[in-house]
Amino acid sequence: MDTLIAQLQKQFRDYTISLYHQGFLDDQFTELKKMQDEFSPDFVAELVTLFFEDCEKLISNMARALDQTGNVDFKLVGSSVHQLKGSSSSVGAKRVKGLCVVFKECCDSQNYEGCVRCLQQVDVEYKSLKAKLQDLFNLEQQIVQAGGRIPQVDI
Amino acid sequence: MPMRCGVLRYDLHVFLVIVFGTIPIKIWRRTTKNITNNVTLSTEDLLSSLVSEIENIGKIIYPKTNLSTIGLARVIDSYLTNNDVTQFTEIQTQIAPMLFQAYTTIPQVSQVSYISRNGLLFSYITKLNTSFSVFANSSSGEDYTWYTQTVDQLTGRLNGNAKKSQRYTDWFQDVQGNCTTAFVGTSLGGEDNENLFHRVVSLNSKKGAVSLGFPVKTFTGVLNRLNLHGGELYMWNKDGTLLVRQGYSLNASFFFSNGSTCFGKESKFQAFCSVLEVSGVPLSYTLVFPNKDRGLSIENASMYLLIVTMFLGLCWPLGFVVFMLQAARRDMHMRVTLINQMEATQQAERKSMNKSQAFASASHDIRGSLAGITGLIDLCREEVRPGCELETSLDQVNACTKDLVALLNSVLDMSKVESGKMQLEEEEFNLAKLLEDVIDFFHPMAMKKGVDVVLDLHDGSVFKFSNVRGDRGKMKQILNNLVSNAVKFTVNGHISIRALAQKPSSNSTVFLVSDPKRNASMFSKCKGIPMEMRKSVFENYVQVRETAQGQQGTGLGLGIVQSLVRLMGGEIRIIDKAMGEKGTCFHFNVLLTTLECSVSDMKVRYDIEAGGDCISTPNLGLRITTLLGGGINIRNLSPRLNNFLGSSPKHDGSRVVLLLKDEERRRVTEKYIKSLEIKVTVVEKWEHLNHALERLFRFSPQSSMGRAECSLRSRELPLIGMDGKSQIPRMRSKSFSTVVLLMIDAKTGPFSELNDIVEQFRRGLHHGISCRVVWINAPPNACENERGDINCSKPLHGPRLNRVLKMLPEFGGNEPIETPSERESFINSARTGQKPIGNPEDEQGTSKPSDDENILNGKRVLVVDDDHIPSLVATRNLKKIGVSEVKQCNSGKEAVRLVSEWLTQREQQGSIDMLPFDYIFMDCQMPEMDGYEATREIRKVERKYGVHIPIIAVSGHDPCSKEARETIEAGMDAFLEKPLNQDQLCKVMRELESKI
Repeated sequence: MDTLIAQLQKQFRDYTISLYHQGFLDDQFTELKKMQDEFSPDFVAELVTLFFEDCEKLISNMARALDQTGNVDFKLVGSSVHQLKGSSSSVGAKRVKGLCVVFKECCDSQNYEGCVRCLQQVDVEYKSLKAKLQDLFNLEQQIVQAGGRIPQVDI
Repeated sequence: MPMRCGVLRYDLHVFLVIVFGTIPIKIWRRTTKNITNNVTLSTEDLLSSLVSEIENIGKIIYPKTNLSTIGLARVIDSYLTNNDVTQFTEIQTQIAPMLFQAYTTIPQVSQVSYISRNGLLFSYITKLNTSFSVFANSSSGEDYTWYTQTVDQLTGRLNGNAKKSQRYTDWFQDVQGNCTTAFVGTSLGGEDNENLFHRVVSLNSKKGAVSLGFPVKTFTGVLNRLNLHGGELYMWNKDGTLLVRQGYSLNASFFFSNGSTCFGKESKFQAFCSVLEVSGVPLSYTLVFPNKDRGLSIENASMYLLIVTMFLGLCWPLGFVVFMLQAARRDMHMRVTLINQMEATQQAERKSMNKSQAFASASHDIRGSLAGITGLIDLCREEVRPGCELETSLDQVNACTKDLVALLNSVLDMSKVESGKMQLEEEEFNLAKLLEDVIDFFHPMAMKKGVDVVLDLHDGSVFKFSNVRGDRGKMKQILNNLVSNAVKFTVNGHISIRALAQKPSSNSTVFLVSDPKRNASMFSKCKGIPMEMRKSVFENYVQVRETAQGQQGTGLGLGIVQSLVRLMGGEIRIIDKAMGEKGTCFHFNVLLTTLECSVSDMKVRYDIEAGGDCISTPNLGLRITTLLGGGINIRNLSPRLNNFLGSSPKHDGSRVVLLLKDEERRRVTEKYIKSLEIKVTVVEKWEHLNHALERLFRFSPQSSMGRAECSLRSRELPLIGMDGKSQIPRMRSKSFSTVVLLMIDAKTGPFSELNDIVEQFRRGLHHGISCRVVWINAPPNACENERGDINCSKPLHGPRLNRVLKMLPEFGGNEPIETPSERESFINSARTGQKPIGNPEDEQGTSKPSDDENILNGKRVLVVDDDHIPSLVATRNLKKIGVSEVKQCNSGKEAVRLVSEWLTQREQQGSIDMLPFDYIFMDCQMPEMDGYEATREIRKVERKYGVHIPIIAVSGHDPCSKEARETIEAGMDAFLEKPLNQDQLCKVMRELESKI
């Protein structure tokens, strides 16, 4: 049993580190983790879930706005991007945040193609992040179920 | 259209010229009339004056002829009444003397004669200025003859021979009778037939007559001299003999007929006739003036003039119009050219702008793609087998991408500068530290080439104002660029960077003058920058570096540096160097604001930073206090210490011995230490070190003072002194003992020998003199001894030099500059070639996390954010640091409503003291009502109640951006960057708390 836990823990650690290394996450995520305590054990998970819901909503909003060819309300897109940037930076979704910066610039310069490309990238990025985090949480759950402690991962 | 306007204008011109031309013509006409009248008048005046003049002449010329004749007649008469004279001899003897008397006395007389009734005659006449006598010695009969004979000029006696003379006496017969007349007639017996005015008076005794003659010539001569102003004067006697005719301008024919005078002339003339009596002879005269109407002639002349003037007056405007038309045509042409030119310029500008924009957006795109590539490389690396060739290739690709990104950034900078979007990001920083950092970064690189980089802080003024507010990044970029250029282009010699702060005026700005000098030695091949290239050096794209070397902003040439310097309110230029000096000297100045909160505050902060190294040492308290007094630039900032130094009689002064390799560094360091009033001994070669130390030692003031030179020269005492660190501070607090500080560059000679010399010196020291050694570039473990020697692998200048100098008792310390850990970092950094990471503020932040936990204990906070994720995070964060109640709300309007409701409620309850929230965290960008607006609203509401809730802005923007400044303007109290970071949060909260 212990070996399983240890294995899971190692897997968890490696996975987390790889997420950081690949630039999916940044220090803010660590901060969030630190905030999670016995009073709110699912804080990060809840937050992340909220974030992804938001992502979905915002991306569909932006997609709709960008669909209207020739009459794109860049301001609307821009404010959505800003919100997305705020959310992603709060969660520590580094790649999404980075994309949002580029996206915002595209919006400001009213670069339609750039916006569309960015939107696609953001879509891909947030989905992959969602998958990765899902894996991470699954691992966590496995550890907890196995009766182990979730290890602190120092980056 | 403008053409028509022009024509209209010229029409107007012509009209004006005509209107204004007629007025003077009228005036002119009136004046000419006046002048004509005046001329006529004056002509009449002239005529009358001429007449009166002629009359005057007539009166004056022979004024008393009548009287004198009568007088003479009486005298002769009286004589004759007694004797009846009938014989010529009697006349000759008796009357002739009287006649001669009259002849000589009466002025202007030319003939005096006595004529008896019977024809005897005796007279004196003047002929050709000689006097003659004409006489007839027999009475009228057959042989009645006149004789002319010369007379004695004095006596009047006849002498010479008498000649017969002709008789011309047409008037003689008349005179013979007893009559008294005056007339014009020829003279007696004169062949020249000269006319005389005769005055004849007959004697009372009726025996004859006396006649006086005056020449007409004199009279006519006077008249002839008269100016007749173009007129003519005719004068004749009653017989019709023309006496005077003056002036021939008229060519009038003149004749008498039937006793009247006639003038014949074709043209009209004016005549004035009158009678003039000259010595009793009535003379008629006529003044004739040409009757051409003078007024008319003047009018004619003026007419001509007028016509000429009119002609000119018309010609001039015509010429003017022609000229103006030409000018207008030229003007029009120029305007057209200008407009074309301007359009072309605008087009070019637009094109350039579009290009820049396209360029910028393309750069953005490129950056996006590059980011993708980096990510992909990372991904690939995950899957690649470690150690294989592909990995090294990937690493190389990665490095290339990084270079590309850096290059792209500098290009973006350039376009930002070009479009004027570059803005200064103000932040507080330590200038001296910055300078040191930059030089430390380049020092190893330069040393590899054998070039030393020397920081010359000149008078230490940079330390005085080292805490400044300005754009740290750009400042660093400027310095990096200049220094890296210097390092790149200097083959040998040294590079010196001199910095000094000046106050341009009393306001709180530091004027940093920094001139990184690219100094090459005399033998160097470095040519410096030739004169003619100096201007173009600062132009963009003239000198684009091929690689960015990992440092942002070094990619473009000096053009960007110039732009940055100008942006910071300064100027950069290349300074002429003195003859014989090689290399190039760049000089630039920038304006930085010194921190306004009083200098002493900042000073304290700086000292604590420096003192942070020594927290573990036992004599912390002592140190801090001295440091507070001492300041950074000790001499300048602490008068108290100066006084103390001056008043301390026991103090002999510490001494610094320098053994440095580079000449320039030696010079700079020596100068700087001397400026702090510390004695310096410079040793140029390691071989001389021993000698120098010995000399120093022998002539040490301590030794000359010294009692028992030998007895105290024991080996143990100084060693004990050096080891017992804890005792020394106490001793020093009583009196400063002398410290010898050796700064030795280990590269100057073999280290072991140097070490030996030092050891020997140390052993030979007196009690009370301690010795400190600072090794520079010594082998890592060579000097790890118990004496607290320091091994410094970095160039010794700037703040580091100061820290070393602080070991001297004058500046309050005997501690080694660094705690072991710091030293470790020094050495480490030297090994890896990286900057030391010693940022004390970070350490402080992490060292006190426990304090932060409870900083907001029991506070109530409102978090305003439309996005619930950041809001959640913030809430969580706040709860972590002890906030008891966090209320979330998702719009500005809601926040305003909450606050105002609370306040009104409270007012009704009568207790406003309790604030609705202790803090409000306000997101800036929100739909409906954004953070700024909400803050303004809240402030408005608050004012009514006289309360103030601290509002902290939370935004995704940079803390230095425009948006951040706007938050303060809107009335917010602090600014936090998104995402919320606990350290930052605590820092800001602490600041706010302390303010309250």
